[in-house]
Amino acid sequence: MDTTLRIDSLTVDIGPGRVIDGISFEVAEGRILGLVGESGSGKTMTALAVLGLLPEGAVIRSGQVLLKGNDIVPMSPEERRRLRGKKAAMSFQEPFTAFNPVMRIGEQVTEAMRAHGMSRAGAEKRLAELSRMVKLSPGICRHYPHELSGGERQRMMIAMALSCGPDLLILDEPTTALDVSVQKHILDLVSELQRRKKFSVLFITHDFSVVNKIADDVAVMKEGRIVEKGSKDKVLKAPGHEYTRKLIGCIPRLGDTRKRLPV
Amino acid sequence: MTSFTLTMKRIIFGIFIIAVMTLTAVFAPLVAPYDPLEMDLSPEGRLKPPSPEHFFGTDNLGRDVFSRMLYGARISLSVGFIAVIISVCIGILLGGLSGYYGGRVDALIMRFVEVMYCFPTFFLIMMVITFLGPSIVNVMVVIGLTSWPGLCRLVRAEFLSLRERDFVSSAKVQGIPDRRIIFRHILPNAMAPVYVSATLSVGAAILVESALSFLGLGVQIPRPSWGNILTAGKNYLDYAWWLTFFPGIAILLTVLSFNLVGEGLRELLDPRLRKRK
Ligand SMILES: Nc1ncnc2c1ncn2[C@@H]1O[C@H](COP(=O)(O)OP(=O)(O)OP(=O)(O)O)[C@@H](O)[C@H]1O
Ligand SMILES: [Mg+2]
Repeated sequence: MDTTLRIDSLTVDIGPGRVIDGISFEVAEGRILGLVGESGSGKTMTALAVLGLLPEGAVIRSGQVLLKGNDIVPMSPEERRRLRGKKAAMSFQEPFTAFNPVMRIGEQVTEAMRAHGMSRAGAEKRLAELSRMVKLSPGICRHYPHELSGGERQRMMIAMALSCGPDLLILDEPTTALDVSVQKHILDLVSELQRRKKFSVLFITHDFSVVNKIADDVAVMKEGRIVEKGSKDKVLKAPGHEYTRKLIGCIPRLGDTRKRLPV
Repeated sequence: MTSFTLTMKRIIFGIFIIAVMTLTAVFAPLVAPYDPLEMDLSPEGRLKPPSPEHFFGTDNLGRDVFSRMLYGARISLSVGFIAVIISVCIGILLGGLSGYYGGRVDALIMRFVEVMYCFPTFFLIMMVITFLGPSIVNVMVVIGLTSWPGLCRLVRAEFLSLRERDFVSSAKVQGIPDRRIIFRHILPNAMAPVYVSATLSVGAAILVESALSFLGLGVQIPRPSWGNILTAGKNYLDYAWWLTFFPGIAILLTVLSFNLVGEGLRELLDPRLRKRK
């Protein structure tokens, strides 16, 4: 099986602190990898490393990040910029702050396509397609970000991430900021799009119930290390690490009445 | 609430005065009752006090002060606006680069700003004008080239905080080039303090131009400017008050109006000030 993303013993320091400590995992072509871990375990840092966008002061100490076989670590900033959006795209944790407040949503989405060499007319046409693809009416593109609901913004962000047809889509906790019913719609949308378009997904979350719904494979992260990885069924049915068991223990199970408090 | 209406009143008053000044300046040839350069050297024509024929009287060469003031407004206002446009462009460019890239670019630009701050600006301007020779264009350019450091710092501070915002990271993730991120994403969000500072600077630039012309380093006679009308009048202070009174009032009102609008905008746009009431 081919790999879309392969991270090989990657280590990243910020100042004196080690935020990523020799992690290795891969996202196979056409599959969804759930990267799970508690807050502060380094999930967002991993995603930013894949895009070559680590914050100022972060240093890659060792390791490789292979996108479709090409290592992005030694690349120049301009080479990395050209890969972003096209080879790998990302949607952010906070749909509220991830759009420019003074620019129309549609313009922000077409801008990405224009930056990768698409004509204005082509980008406008694709914008309408994209908004229908994420189940929104194309009219919404004329609005400013604050005029949209959280769910609509998250959908537009996914549309934006998919605008240039990336091989890898990184979703950083796409459902954390949304309420439960909207969460489900977003998850359904992601799995449907993934099945249709066959891209690979790195799905970041701290919630095993979300992993259970959407992922094919799982990697568990703790304090900058990958403590366990494998197919979803294997990890969920027979977790090998104490930490994984603890995280799985947080899922509320249907029909589990034992812990119910007396009414 | 009361403070809000007061702010609005100030802004409206300022805009009204600026609008009147600008309109009379633009339409000076239509409004002016006399040719501003036409002299009447007869003893009856010179130094006439304000009257229905000459609203602001005549000067020592028998020229109509009202007409000269109207043409002078053209100079003062255009110097103010153009100097500020130059200074805003430089301030945004350097402040933006400094705040967005940080590091060595920032260090270099900030040292340059500090050097600029060390010179007493007015004397720097005087020195440069003495070298280049006095003319309106030189005055505009030199005021513009020396008044950007404050704005540069302001823009830098805005960029420093805006570049950490998610929507900037999001644009980077999409592979949007830096140039576009700076001008299309960060700059529009950083404009509020720029408007405030630019409005205040127009007043300051008009004041500098008047001072330079007053000292003979600005607009050259016989072309009228508020500053050099004032100069011509200072020799007749004792018996022709109108020669200094009207240009003085015009400068005062204009600078005051720009300051009222600038301060008003600051109060409207700054949420921290607004909350304090
Ligand atoms: N700009 C920064 N400078 C220094 N340290 C940072 C910076 N950003 C994050 N860190 C540190 O890196 C570590 C990993 O952070 P990261 O944002 O990747 O966590 P996360 O797993 O995404 O958490 P969350 O679920 O809360 O989003 C944390 O310990 C954090 O303190
Ligand atoms: Mg995170």
